[in-house]
Amino acid sequence: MLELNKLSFTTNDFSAEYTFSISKSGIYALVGESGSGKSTLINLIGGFLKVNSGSIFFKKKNLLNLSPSERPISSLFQNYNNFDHLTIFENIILGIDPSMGTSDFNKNKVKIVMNKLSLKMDMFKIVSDLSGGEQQRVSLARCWLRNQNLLLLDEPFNALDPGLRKDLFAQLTKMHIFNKSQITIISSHFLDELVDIIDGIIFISNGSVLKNKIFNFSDLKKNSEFKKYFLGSS
Amino acid sequence: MGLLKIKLYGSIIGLQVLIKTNQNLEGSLLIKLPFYFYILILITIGTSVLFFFYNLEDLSVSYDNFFKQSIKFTFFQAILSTSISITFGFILSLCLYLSNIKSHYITTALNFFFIAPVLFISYGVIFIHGSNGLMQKIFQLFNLDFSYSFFGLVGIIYVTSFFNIALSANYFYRKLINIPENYLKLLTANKINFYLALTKYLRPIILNNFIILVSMILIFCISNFTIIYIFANSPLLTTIELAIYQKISFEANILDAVVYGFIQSGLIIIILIPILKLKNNFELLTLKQSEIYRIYKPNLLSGIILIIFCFYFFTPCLVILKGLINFNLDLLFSLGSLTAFMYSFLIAISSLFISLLIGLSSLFITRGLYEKKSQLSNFIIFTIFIISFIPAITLSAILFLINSNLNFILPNFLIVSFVNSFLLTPLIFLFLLPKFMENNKHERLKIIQFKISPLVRLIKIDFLKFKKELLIICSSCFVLSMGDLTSITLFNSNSFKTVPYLISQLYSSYRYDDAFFILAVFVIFIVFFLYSINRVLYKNVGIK
Repeated sequence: MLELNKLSFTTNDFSAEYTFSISKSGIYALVGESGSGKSTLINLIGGFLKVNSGSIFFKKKNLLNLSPSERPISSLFQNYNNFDHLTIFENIILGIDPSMGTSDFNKNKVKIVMNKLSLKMDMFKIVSDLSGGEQQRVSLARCWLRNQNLLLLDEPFNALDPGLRKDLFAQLTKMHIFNKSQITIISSHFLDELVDIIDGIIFISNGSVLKNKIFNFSDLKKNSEFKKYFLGSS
Repeated sequence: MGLLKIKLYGSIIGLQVLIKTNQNLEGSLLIKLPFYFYILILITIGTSVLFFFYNLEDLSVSYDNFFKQSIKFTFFQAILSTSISITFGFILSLCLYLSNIKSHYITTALNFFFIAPVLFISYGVIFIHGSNGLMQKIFQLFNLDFSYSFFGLVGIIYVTSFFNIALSANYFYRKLINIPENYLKLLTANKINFYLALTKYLRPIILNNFIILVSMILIFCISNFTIIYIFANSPLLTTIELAIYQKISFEANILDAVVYGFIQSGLIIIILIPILKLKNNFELLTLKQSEIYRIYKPNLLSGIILIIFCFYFFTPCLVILKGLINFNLDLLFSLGSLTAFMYSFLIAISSLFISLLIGLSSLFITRGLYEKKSQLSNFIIFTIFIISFIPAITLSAILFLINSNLNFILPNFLIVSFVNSFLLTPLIFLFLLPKFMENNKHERLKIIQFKISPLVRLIKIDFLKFKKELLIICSSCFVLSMGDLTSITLFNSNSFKTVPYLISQLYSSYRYDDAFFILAVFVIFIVFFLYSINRVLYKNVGIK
């Protein structure tokens, strides 16, 4: 389904080359030390950074020729996922209607997705009045509404409490039940919290994917580099 | 004034209490001393004015039609110029944002045009658009019967807007390049065009603190002296500032001048109120420029507009070429020129030194009070602002009055340096305030924990934190002070003159070529100076 072949990116002080493929839908954790190139990978797939060479194919379609908005992707970041001055409705609907029209059709769509994510509040409330967890849920609602087959999450819940994180991971699983053909790549430092919901792990080290393949947790635990990252050198 | 004194006394008592409650005070009083000295001078000036009024037998001030007209015109030109500057500044910032020009070149150029000597731009505009200017010569060359001149209101607005367009474009441009990268990703992923992004999604970010920009430009326009002095060609085109100058220079009526000055100050205080909100918005003046993710590309319209603005900004600079063509080594090395250059340099250095001492001292006290959540921090900010709205010409008149009562004991050099430093202090204070307040909560805990003395904190922590900003503001203030023509118009003599005054003298005596030559040398010196500072900042020489 998703295939990256020698996808390279270079700046003055960083260079990366990624190769891996994901053959079935599911949730995949993207882990690695800080500065190893996790966010770069997400930005390259999302089209936010210019690729030097290589290819990205998703469902046999070359994504490199497409602009970020044309790619079948939804993205979520750690912060600035919502426009603070806009309402919940506006922040969610902009995923499918950038002019943010308040038609009954749009309102209905937002209402449905808010219910699915247990956002039980007035949809015309300003988003900055919500708690951190609720704000991230609004962003997730937008991704849900876009209903794209590739969901990229760049450490989206890192600033939240463990309880809230667990709750949002559960919402993520719920999304997959609704869209079974979706691939989610989630970058996180909380692998132990993700283990139960993920289908594989992409381990990034020094700008490349370890052994260019997707691991399961039990296999990866045997790798010395991963052990050092996950358990510490002592 | 009595109320002000009580407030001042209260604040000093308050400060003393704070000093006593602080456990580690090594060097604290030394840092605070310049601010206390500044307060003392404010009180002395205030008391002298009251004493002067008290001794006057006739306290009648003439509020004639001329004065009423000058108030009307002051506001008319200020509002017109502010509207034009903000509109065009915004358009320019959008075009610059869309362009592929590196952001530090843009901000450097805009900074230069904002702090460029008023005299340089004014004579540059006259050289191009004057009745015998370059444009007229081009028209004559092509036998075009079209004559125009930029004197009067058009000239005033054209030149005033020159500086303020640069300021507002810089303001909006910084807002644009500091838009969070994730917002841009969100906009591009959802195919939101630039117009929609600006009007619906990014508007609050761009317009945040917009009122402060309006206030600042209005104040600049109201307290504008040199441009009106050069371009006003009719009594109807007189501002309060020029009316004050006329009262002092032509009528020797200090009472009217001081009262007019207070009226102007009162009007400016009202406009200044939004700026006092700054304490809650320390990020407003920060220089951070994130590595930007570019999603919006330049188009034909933005390119054309950018070319028009380049014409607007760079054509006055042609006066440098004209000046260099008239190269005159004898004039450059004449005693008059060398003295003017020396005094300009000394005034710039001394006024910068005074304002830096007062500015840093005030910042230190403000932060101390802010950390203790004391309302007195507002008072310090307010007292710093007081000096920014005392018209330079009124301050000069007051100092002239004090000096005459002291049998002219104070040298003109000191007075001019002092007046300039009063104008520079708020700039230094405002510019360094965000950096001074950065991480202050976390920092304070460490300061208490490790018992770091105030002096060590200032030298070893604060200076390292804001050395880049300090260098930028010091170089800007140096240039502003060197190019100032306000107080020197009152305090000049045969042996004491600055370069701007020398240029003005040469121009008034119809020695245009000599005036343009000295102007060219002066501007080249300033550009070279700013270029050196820029190299230090961006080529990692000393600062990383």
